[in-house]
Amino acid sequence: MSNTRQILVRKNAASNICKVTGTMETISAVRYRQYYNQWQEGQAFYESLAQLAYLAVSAEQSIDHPLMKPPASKTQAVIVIGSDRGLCGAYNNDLYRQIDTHTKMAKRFGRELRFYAKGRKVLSYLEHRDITPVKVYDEFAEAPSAEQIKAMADDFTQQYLAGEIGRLGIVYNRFFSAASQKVQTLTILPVVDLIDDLTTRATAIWPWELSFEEFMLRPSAAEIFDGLATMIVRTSIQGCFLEAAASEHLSRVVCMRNATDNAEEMITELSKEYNRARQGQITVELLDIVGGVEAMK
Amino acid sequence: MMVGLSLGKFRVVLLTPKASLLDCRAGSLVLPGNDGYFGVLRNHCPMLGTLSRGIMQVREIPGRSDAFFVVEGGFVRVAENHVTVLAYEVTTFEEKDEKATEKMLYHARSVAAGQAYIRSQQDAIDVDKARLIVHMAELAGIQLAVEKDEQFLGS
Repeated sequence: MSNTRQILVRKNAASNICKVTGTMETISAVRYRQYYNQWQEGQAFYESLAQLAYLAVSAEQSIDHPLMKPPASKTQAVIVIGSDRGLCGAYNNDLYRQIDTHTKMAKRFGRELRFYAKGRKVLSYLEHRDITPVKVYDEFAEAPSAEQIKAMADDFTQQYLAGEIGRLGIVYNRFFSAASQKVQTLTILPVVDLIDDLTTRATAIWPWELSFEEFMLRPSAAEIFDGLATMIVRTSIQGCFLEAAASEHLSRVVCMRNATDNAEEMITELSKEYNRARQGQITVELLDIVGGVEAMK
Repeated sequence: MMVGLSLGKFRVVLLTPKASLLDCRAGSLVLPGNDGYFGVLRNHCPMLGTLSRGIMQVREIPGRSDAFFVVEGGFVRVAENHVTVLAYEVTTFEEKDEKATEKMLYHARSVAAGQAYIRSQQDAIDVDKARLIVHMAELAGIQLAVEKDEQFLGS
């Protein structure tokens, strides 16, 4: 049986951990709620966007637009969205695996990779793999502002049109529902691939019996598609950051809840052990006294 | 009587990536198109268009006052008396309490008047947008509390 003092120290340590994890859980739960509400409110938007995109690509006359053309370069840009802090379970580990997959694929098919990183955890992993990211997004905490998104999207679109990159993918934890988040790579450019993803994930595609040709267009079809492509690219990047943030906080909530539960269990165990040890000590002391009295007789 | 209420009306939905801001029936709608403002009434022909920055006006909404929004570009689809507006970002007085409304209007007015230096980084707006917000307030008939008092005293 260990010393009562030692047990007490361990118990205090466990209760401190319990407090910290409990607080982290509460904070992340609040943040998660905020991001989740934003995500849910935005679903209608993405649904409508998918309908528009579907309408545009199902047009009879093919739209001649530079963003619709097949990629001119073999270089692939990858944005990896991870977290700044740990303590969120397997959230970052799955991202690392995806990075490895991309590196292997690039090697196999002779493509050049350019990494763009968000989050300190991702950065340190890339460093560990001897990969230097082209750019690190550290000017915003979790979700970038509208201007930052705009700058980001315009930059990549420019690079694509100039033939510097042939593909743009975002590696992030996709938020399917509160019960399921999974790491995946969403292809943003070429836009056709993105429209593919948008239209297949939408629940209702085109409930009306109208085709693209029946619409009055203001301005021309090419300009509309240009605007549409810009909007799809921009809002999809924004959506990725939002979903990544929601997934991060949710996985932290789950993790911290487990940690708190474990700590509480440990505290109960240690309390029992402490009481037993203290009782034992008292018994020993009593026996000593009784033994002493007996010896005096 | 109930039929009369919904006669000549159509559905208007305003969506942004962060929130769905409006879903109602309305009698008329004015939108900032890429080549100027245009109006939409019931039985408008199917239409697709891009939007530029400007004020979106939704009028004759049954059971409530007219709604106004500063829209930062986007898309509109008009089909079968169903108008869907997709916007990047929207600024509005809707669903804001009196204090927040007042703060926004005061801020916009000071920026429009050229006092941009007092603005904080977080809610920075440019002069163009500030003017739109001021104009939107005029359309919606929103005034600062001080002005209301002045009017009251003057009358």
